[in-house]
Amino acid sequence: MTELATGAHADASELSLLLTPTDHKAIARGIGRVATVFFLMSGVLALLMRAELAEPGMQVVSTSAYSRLFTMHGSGMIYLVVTPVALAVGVYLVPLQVGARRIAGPGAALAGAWLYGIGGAVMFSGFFTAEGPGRATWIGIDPLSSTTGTPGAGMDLWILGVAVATLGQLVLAACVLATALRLRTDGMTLLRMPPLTWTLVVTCLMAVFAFPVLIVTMLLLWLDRHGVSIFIGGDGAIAYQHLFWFYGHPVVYVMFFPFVGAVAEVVSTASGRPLRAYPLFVGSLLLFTALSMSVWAHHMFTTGAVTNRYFALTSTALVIPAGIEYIELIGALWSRTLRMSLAVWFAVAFLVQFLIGGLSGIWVASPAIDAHANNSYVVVAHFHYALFAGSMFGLFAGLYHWWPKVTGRLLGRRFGVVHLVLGVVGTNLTFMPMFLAGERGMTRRVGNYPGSGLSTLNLLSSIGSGVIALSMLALALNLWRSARAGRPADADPWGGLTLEWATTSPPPAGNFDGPVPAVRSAAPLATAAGSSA
Amino acid sequence: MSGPHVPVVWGGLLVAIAAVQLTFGMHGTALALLGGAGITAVLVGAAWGARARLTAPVTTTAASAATSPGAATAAAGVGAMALGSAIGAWLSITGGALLLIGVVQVVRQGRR
Repeated sequence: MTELATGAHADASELSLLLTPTDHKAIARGIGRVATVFFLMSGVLALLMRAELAEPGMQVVSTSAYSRLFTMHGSGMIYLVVTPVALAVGVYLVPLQVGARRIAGPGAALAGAWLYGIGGAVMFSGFFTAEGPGRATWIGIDPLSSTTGTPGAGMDLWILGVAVATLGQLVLAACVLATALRLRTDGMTLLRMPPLTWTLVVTCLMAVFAFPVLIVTMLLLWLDRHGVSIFIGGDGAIAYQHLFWFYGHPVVYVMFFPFVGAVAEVVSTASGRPLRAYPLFVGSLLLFTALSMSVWAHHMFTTGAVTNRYFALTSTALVIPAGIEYIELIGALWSRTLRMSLAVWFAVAFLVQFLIGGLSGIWVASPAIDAHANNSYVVVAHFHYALFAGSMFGLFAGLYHWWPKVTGRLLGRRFGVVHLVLGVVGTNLTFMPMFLAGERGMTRRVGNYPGSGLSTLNLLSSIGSGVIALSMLALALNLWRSARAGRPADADPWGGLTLEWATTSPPPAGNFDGPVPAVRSAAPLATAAGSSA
Repeated sequence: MSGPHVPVVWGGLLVAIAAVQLTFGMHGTALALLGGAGITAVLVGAAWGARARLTAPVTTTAASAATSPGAATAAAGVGAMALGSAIGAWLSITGGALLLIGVVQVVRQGRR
């Protein structure tokens, strides 16, 4: 196979290999590069928003421009950064972890990556239209997204861009899922699949069953704006919210679970043994994601049009599988043999900070509290603790863990420490004051606010966002230095337990130079080392 | 437990959670969305399991072409169709043509 793959690569031109590769590793790297561009663009929009909010009044942008800023910031980060990066982690690592030579449906995966990038470009192309890009929030809420609420081609481009990018992500998810479930090497039973692969299996299940609903909803919204009456009146708005949130809440977990998996890999590698009670961990993932599909209408508590008690029950029930997973991860950290590395420190930051995001989720899972917190900065703080303080720190843990595998070079420790410290300080300085601002009545999605009691909190958040930007600069410098002159990494710099560490860094076309190592446990490399000793 | 069991188990969980809704009163849209997803997952898993019993196991050694220009062309076609909605029908038509060319390329590559 390696010869076949190498031969096939030799026949293709450099340009063709750059733009249309079917090697899953090249596809994932491409998604990573495109997501980095969208991250920078969406991050700049966030800094503009924080500059506007640093003091009361409108100083930097107009009210209308502010609406476009928060719409495109949220849309960019969710549709074009965290979700595709979560899937790209799977595109790169799942075939390696299950011992497959390729991804299932390599051509489809390539098309998915292109659809994602093109969809993002279409979404952002609204900036070049006369009326500007979409401004109906990241959920494109109806009737604000109607032609009356948001006239112009920019909103149409937002709708179609979301649909196209999500179609691409749906295809990518299907390829990752099929790889994990169909292309496992001999001996790789379901319960021997590594934690990252399992988190991606459940992530992709959610994507495959929730993403089509968004794509259809976007097409219906587009038709609605072009003369076909679909979301009419109050019932139409409620129907839109049901359809949107059936995607919109599971996607939060699509953006979260792969990074739980990354953290699980980091801590189990650092402790030198697989997670304890692994079947319980897998069972909790299945239950967690099934429940995740059933909580969407807690976003609609205040509409009075949903069964609040049922959705409060399912939303609160999430603490059971979440608690099991936390105990598993803390159990892996509780080890005499634990080797602390930067990846482990990022994993610890993930565990602590996500806990704040998760616990504040229990508040808003209560209809009584949600009635007060709804549409306030409490919600903004909650989801930024979940998605930035949580998911992004999980991503960073995975980045420091697998970067040597992907590039063949180690990341620098000094820049890494700066990235970690500034990242933790900046994140908490930005988002913790938002809880207090929300509690004092600050409404989300406004560029202006009354000064009394809110100006200091907002100034702190704005300073914090600058510190986050500095932490990103430290990360960028670290990546750049590593790519140019980083210390070479061997195949297994951390003493890994799973199959990706059995191949060279970076892995060759076809993933493994020789035969795939035999799999006799959930930690195949530990088993192999034990049997050869 | 094998691959097809995963969507069956997961879909079963969705159906069970959807069924709990009934004890809180009937709400058609919510029930249809969650129950529909669950039933679909169970059916997909069952159909896949039945097919897997009838066909040989998939081997991971099958080589694939190193590039797939058709896949990228088809995706570019979809993007052009979307962009055409704002710029003009000519771009949507060009996108449709690109999509067609891409699909033909992919099919021809698959047959080789």
